[in-house]
Amino acid sequence: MSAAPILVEPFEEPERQREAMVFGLWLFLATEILFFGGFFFLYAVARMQDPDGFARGGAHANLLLGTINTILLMTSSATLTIAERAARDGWMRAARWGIIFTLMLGTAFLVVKGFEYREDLAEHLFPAAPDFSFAGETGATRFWSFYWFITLVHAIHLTIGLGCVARLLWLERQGTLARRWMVAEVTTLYWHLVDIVWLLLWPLLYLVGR
Amino acid sequence: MRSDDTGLLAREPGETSYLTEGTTLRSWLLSTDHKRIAILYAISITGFFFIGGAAATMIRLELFTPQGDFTTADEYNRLFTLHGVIMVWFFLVPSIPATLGNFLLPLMVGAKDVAFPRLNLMSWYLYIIAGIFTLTALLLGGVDTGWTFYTPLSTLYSNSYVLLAAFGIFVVGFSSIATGINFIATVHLLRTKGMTWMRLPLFAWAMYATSLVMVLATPVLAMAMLLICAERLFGLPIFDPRAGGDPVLFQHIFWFYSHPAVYIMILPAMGVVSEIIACEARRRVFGYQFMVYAMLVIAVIGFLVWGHHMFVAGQSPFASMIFSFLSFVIAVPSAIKVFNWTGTLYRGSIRFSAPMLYALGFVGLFTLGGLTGLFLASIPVDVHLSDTYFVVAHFHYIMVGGAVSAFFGGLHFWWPKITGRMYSESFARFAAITLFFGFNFTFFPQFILGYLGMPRRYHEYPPEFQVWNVMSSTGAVVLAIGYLMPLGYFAYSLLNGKRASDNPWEATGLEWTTNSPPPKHNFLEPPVVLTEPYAYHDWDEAPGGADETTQDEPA
Amino acid sequence: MPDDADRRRILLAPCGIWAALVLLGGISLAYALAPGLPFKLVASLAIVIAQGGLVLIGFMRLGKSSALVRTTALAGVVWLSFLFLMTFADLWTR
Repeated sequence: MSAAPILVEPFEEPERQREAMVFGLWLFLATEILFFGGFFFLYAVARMQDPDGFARGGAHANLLLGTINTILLMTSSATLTIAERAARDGWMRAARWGIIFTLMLGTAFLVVKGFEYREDLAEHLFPAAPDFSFAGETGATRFWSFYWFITLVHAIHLTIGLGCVARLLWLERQGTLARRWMVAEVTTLYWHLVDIVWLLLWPLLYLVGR
Repeated sequence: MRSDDTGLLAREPGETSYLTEGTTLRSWLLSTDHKRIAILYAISITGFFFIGGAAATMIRLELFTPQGDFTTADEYNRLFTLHGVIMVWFFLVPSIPATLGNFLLPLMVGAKDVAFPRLNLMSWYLYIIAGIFTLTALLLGGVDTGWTFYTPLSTLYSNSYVLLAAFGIFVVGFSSIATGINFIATVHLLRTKGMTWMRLPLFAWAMYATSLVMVLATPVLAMAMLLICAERLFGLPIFDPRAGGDPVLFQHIFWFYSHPAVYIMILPAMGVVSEIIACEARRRVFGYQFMVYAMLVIAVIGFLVWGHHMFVAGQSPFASMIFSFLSFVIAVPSAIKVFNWTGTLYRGSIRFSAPMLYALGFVGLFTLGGLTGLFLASIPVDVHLSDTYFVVAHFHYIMVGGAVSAFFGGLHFWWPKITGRMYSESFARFAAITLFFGFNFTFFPQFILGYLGMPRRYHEYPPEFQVWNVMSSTGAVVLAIGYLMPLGYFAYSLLNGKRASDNPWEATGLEWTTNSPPPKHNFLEPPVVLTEPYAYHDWDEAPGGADETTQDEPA
Repeated sequence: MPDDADRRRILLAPCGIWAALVLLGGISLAYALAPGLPFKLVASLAIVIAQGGLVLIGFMRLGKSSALVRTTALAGVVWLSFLFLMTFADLWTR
């Protein structure tokens, strides 16, 4: 089974430390639920006020790249789960490769997102630009405002997640990941939440008006 | 013996405390000790308190005369925004939790430290970074939207540094979320042996309830501020009415945080006051369990009343009625607390020490603030009083008369524990009384001004209001003296104060069982709790207990 | 070090969840693209809830977590419902 975990202040038993770390991270995830919830609330109101305008705007979202990104993120969640469970059981080879795959998939998500942004800009889909395609249409304008805002916020979350996962790789290089699998566990929890947010964003941004 | 063992703050040669564990700046700035972080916070919030206070001084100077002769209208807007932003987010929200809470919560539950010490330090750094953003906005020329950042003024029309200030508030939110997460995890997981939930001191319960509100409300503010940043930075028209946006929706998500934020400020104050009153009256807290449940109920219902800020903002009458009703409901647990504090005094042997004077002042001012809150919660009255000085007076009674008095009370009460020194009791009593009178001189006239119809946020006013405004400005001078005096005698006590014993007030609670100031890991060995909290007297001495009939000691 | 059965479990269980997630995503996509079907938003949201549940229970092991952790997750959702409930009480009665 797992190696004896490294204890940090103020804990004296591994089980208590794990309980605290998981609980603390879930408290943070609860704040994330409320943070993104505030956005989804505004989105819901705007869409109910003008469903047709949303559909007109949403039809121009890049479904192909959005769907590729959804699959990339789902896959990264699976690879990170494998890494975390392997680390806990001391199977470090699987943990290392799981982390590396996750980093690659997460980076690929950001790269695809970058290409998608370039295409969106080429199609004049940025609401504040003077040549905005839907100038004067309130529903579509709000859709694209929400699109840019929330995909940027999500990308920032993902970038922070990549930093945390990269730290796991560093811990693995140091040879302490086996004894710090709790760090891997809570990193994975955060990564999954970012994944869930995207799973919800995908139909709300890419499947509107299809 | 190390040389710093004989330093100013060591009680006797050879004894070490958290203050003597390293004396370099680095040992403070990188410390993960909750007690040192509390001190870091205390110093920084004092700085912000005086910045906010300077703005208040200029506001009161301007209002001394009916003409706008001291500032222009625009400068006045920037002054009251500065005052509000600094006082709410950089003083009141972190005041008790991040200083007294940080210092005392682990001590009170018998823990070595908070659950996540490094997160705790990060919280302070986030606070400082946020403060730098907001102060930069101030130095560049300030913000003129008011602390509420209402759209579309803040997003479309304001020609001031909204982006920097809003981003600063976004960041300071994470600092209070970090504190909240830490406290909740500490109370759940680090209570020492025998410290059951119903043995927690009410201050610890107050920190727990406050933390719940911090964790569950602040993220929505973060979203609101980020949306304003996005609208200003990228021009994304999220609340822009021309693009179909609804500015009232901004008010909804803003007040979803900012009303519960009032409870972030007042719940810790209630905790402090419960500790002081029980100790200084030498009585068990009357109805301890009711006090606990009242705080939890306030924390939850506090989330359901925000719409009473929006009665005249275009909210539907139906929603206003619900919000109005719930605002009345939240008065019930608040009243329970006031009655129970009074009940605690019954048959007590009351010491009118400085902390007690602050605590009693709190009870009175909080009651007045709370009752005027009911006026404002009732829709027909609020329609007339909205945006008048009545509102200003009401929330200053709660936040300044309530929260700040309790903060000062707590600071005096635990000062011997924090520093190991006694302050001058007579000066402290004088300051407490000055503060109470100064406060009432400043803010009671504002109730009358509001009732007479003087609107808030104007730098000029009709001459018939001058007498009340002069009274208010004069009172503010007295209030300022009340605030400045503790700086003097606290500083003096650090240098020349009498050494404090471990338990100078003969109080109950684990924090009083360790040294003053406490050692680095709080307790030399983990404490074990065997009694209920506030065991100031035997149960049979309680009202209705056995000694109601047999007054005399048994032979 | 884990034995072969453990290794298979570590590798295969997440892959199973992953396959289910992709399958659900495919159904969501197909339903959205098929012309003329009713309740498209409801269908896609229902599928998201199923996917979210899979991640929460399969990946994040919320089912095996302590009651404290589950309460925390629930609190996030309940408090969010306050925002929706009270604000829609305003919007629907304006």
